[in-house]
Amino acid sequence: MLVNIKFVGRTRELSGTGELQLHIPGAAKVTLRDVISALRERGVRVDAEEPGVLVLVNGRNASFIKGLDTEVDDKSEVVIAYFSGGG
Amino acid sequence: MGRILRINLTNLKAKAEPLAKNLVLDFIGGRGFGIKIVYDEAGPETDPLGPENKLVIALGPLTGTGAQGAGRWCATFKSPLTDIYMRSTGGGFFGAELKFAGYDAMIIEGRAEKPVYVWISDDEVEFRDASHVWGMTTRDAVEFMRDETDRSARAIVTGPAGENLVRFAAIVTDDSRTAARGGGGAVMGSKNLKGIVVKGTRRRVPIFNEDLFRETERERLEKLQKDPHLWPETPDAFRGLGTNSTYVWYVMGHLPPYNFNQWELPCIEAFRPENLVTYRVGHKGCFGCVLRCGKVYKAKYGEYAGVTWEFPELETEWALGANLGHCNVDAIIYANMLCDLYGLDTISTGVTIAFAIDLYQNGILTKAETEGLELRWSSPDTAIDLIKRMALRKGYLGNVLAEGTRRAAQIIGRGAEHFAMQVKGLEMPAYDPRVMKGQGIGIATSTIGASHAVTWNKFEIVGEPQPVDPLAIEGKAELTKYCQDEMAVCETAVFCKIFVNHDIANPWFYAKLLYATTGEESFKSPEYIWRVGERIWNLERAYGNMAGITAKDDAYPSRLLRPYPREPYKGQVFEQEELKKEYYKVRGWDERGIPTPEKLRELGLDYVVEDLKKRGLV
Repeated sequence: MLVNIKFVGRTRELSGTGELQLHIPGAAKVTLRDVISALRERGVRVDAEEPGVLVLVNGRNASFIKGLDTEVDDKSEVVIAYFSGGG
Repeated sequence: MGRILRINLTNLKAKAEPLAKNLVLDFIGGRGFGIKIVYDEAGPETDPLGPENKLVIALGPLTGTGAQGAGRWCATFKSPLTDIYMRSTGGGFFGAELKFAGYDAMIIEGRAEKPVYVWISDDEVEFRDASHVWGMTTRDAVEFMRDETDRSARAIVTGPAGENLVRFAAIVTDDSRTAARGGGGAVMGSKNLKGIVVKGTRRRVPIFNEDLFRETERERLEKLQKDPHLWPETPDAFRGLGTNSTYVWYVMGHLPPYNFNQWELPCIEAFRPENLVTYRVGHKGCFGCVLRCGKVYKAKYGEYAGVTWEFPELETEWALGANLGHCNVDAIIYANMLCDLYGLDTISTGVTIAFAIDLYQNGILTKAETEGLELRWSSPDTAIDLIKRMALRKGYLGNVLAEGTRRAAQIIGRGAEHFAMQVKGLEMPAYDPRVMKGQGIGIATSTIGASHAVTWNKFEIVGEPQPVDPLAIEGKAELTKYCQDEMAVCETAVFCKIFVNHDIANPWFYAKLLYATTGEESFKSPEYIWRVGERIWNLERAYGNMAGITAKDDAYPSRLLRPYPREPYKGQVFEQEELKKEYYKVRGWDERGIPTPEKLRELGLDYVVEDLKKRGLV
């Protein structure tokens, strides 16, 4: 399956791109943990549990869904960013 | 004890009055002084644009001490936009300078016969003819007034919009910081007051316990330096790009495009921090703040290329961009500059423009009423044209829109009120209550109308002091009260809300700093500090109640009570009545949204019970 991932700000520097489609072989659904692990295999060292890092799955903060166990499918859009809040 | 400078514009006299001890103990400073003085001296029946309205500019005990993030000043008055109490805070260096001149607050009253500006140099106060600067844009007026007084002085001014009594005109500082919300600039204009210029020489504010002060500041600074949202200089943190989390805010379901129609905004990628940072050419800050979150932007492309101005904040990028259906950063920089120069609140300005476009697109406003102007979405030029018309009250359209969305809808009729995105007359900020329920009930119940700032739900937005699901409704009334009371008391300092939002300012730190600065024993207790916040909130609310506010006003326009339209939150609703009921219960208010006599007495506001009784409200 293909997962769409957008990197914003600092995480863009880590990934070297603003957006990528990540191919994860196998099941039609994976977890966010699988996505992070696949990213690491590609050399993108994103720590989703680092303070300040916000992982959105379809616009929702993953920590309010199931954290790293949140399910992701090939229609999902994952955004990995730091969010400082507006003013 | 400090002093309050009372400036009477009717008889052109100024007098320094001692600060009453009970005022300090009950309200501490800043926003607390503001509501207490407005309540006592410009009651709910006051005409906001009459000489009887008071404009209070208040500082706090920490102003000028260098305490991190406590450099702001607080303007309070009865608002010509909302007809209730308004608090609006500004940054820069004006607050500290006023403190160095020896004052903790100014009460501006009456109305001058002819335009004047006030020049304060320590104990000397002069009223000067302002006829030559009347009609001038803000920055030019500051330049003239500084040339005539002291080049190193600090100033607040109103622009042409305030002079023209545009109901959302801002108060603007010499360095283009604004106390923008609610029409303080129009109150200045109504008083024939162009500006206040100040220079102080008492540049060291005494501190009672220097060791405790330093130790607390060290603790706060350490916390600040560990904060991943504030401290990094990367484009996604405050030192890098200030409030500009615009892109992520949209992804999270906010930044509601097209006047809260929430249609998809295809151009959103332009608001990515990596792009916005390419406009940044400098950093600016406020007195006593290491963050320097103000960024200077230079427009790069198109007809606005070269325009260089302090950057649009997230709210402005939304109000003058996304809310109008475009992401043209260059045009937003220019529109933001126009608002600062004319002296306009960018939020109310953008929301009012979106309201007009929406009405025109729905056939409610006709081409005859727009005087031939095509009001289109995704057209930066439309916004820029309308900014000028509103600021100068030019033509029918400019004149009607200068009244703000609520009044404009009443004038236009034909169902226009459904397009006016406001609560209690104050235009909405870039938050959608349907996808952030605590923030939603906070904005709905805010004592000043639709302000995000007085109720910023840090639990939901940045997970401070602990993360809470924005979509849940359980427990949100308690969290809302927490955030509202905390902000109310922290604005007695006057702390910047960015520090409060990220827990670098809170009642625990504040108690230590207040005691260290003043030596006042009562201030040692965080419980005491929390109570002052609750007292302020309830007094603000009671003022509103006496001006006619009840539960019916704690409500969003119909558009926001329909299900959320775009993915991924499609179908989410705002449980307004359920949340309101719970909120009133937590607050100790009755079902009409009026604080009960028991709650008011508990807070030492017995005189408010009597005032409510006189009006038949209890």
